[in-house]
This record gives sequence, C-alpha cells and structure tokens, in this order.
Amino acid sequence: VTVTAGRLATHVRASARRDAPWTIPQLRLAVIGGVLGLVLLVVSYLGAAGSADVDTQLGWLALAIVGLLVFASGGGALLLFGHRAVLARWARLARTRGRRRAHLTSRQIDADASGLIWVPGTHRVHRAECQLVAGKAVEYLAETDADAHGLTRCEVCAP
Amino acid sequence: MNVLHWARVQWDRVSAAVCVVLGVIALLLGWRGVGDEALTAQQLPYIISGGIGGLFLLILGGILWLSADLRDEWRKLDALERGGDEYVDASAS
Repeated sequence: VTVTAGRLATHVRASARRDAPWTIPQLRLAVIGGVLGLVLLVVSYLGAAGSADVDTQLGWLALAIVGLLVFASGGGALLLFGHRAVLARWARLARTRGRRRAHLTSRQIDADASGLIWVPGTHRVHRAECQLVAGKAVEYLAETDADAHGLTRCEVCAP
Repeated sequence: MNVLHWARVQWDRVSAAVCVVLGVIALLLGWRGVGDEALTAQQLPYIISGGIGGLFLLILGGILWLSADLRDEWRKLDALERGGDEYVDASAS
C-alpha cells in the first residue's frame, strides 16, 4: 500500500495542531470571556470610584461580580475542553494499542519490499527490515513523499 | 538549567505564580484600604479593585497552572504517539 500524498498531508497537518489540547474556537471563547470579564471589572471600578452614592456603587459592585463570573466561566470552559480532549486522546491511544495487537498477525512487514515504510502516526521512515518496525502494521511510502512531508529517516536502519 | 531558560520554557507556571502573588497583594491592599476608610462609599471601590480584582488574579493563576498541566499531559501523549512503537492510525488497515 502506498500512502497517498493527501493522506500524508492530513497526518502532517494534524500533527501541527498538537501543541495544546484546545482548538482555535475554544481558545477564542476563553479569551473573549477573559477580556469581557476584565473590561466589566475595570468599568465597575471606574463607575464605583466616580460615584458617592452607595446604592449606585452597589450596582457597580454587582456588575464587577458578573464580570468575575464571566471570566471564571471562560477559564473553566477552557480547562473543561482541555481535560476532555486529553481524556479522549488517552482513550484513542488505548483503543489503537488494542487494534495494533489484532493487526500484527495479518499485516507483517514484507522484508523483501523495496522503498521506505512508515508506521502511521509516527514521524520516521524506515527500511523494511528495520528492527524498530518489526511486527508492526506499516505502509509503504515513496521516497519523494517522505522528503516532501519532512519525515525524518530512522537513525537505526538509516534508509 | 539556566533560570531564564527555565522561565521561558515554563512561562505558564511562572505567569501563574506571578498572578497568585499579585492576587494576594491585591487582596491585602484592598483589605487595608477598606480598613482605613470610615465611609461605605469610600470602601466599595477598594472592594471592587482589591477584593474582586484579587480574586480575578487568583483565578487566572489557577487557570494558567492547570492549563500548563494539561499541556504537559498533551505533550506526553505526543511523545507516546510519536515514539515509533505505537500504531496510532486505525485507518491504516
């Protein structure tokens, strides 16, 4: 099986998003909550400091509390999203480990095969006979595809 | 490890610690400001800036610290998946 350029590109793009467990919309939501909360707090302080009437100031105090709640909600949502993403990824990793074991007997490396091989989900290419990928489910990869997508060569088998 | 390098790598935890310290300072200053004023109308701005502002900073510090923990765990998962002995992509079959 030769990996298509599209599939490899999808894999590389997915890897680039792995810096943090949040998506851009989730981060945007948290930042909006944080900024809105901060703005409400500053406005409340300015409003309360500019008034000598206690009833008016209590109104500003209530607004400051609302700002604090908005800010805390944004932060809480960020942590919740991140926690769920980490849990989902652990679960996916556990599932794929199980599948890997199931595939070992049916998809062994063809030691006579020419070209490079790639274990999906990794960033290295190997020779077919490399011991690091022995017994693993692999895909065959054109050399030009490996170079084009920045996959590194295995230091052990040095393809 | 160089302290500056460590601070750059652990920017989120450093920021969290700074926010917590600033939050505690804000709460203390707010408490002191309220204590020094006799009129409620003069105390309320301290409650908003020192009290709620301090809570704001404490919460921000907590969020930064916990998000740093989440990022660490995410990077560990990255290392597991990139380790070369993991079969991650189920669609390979």
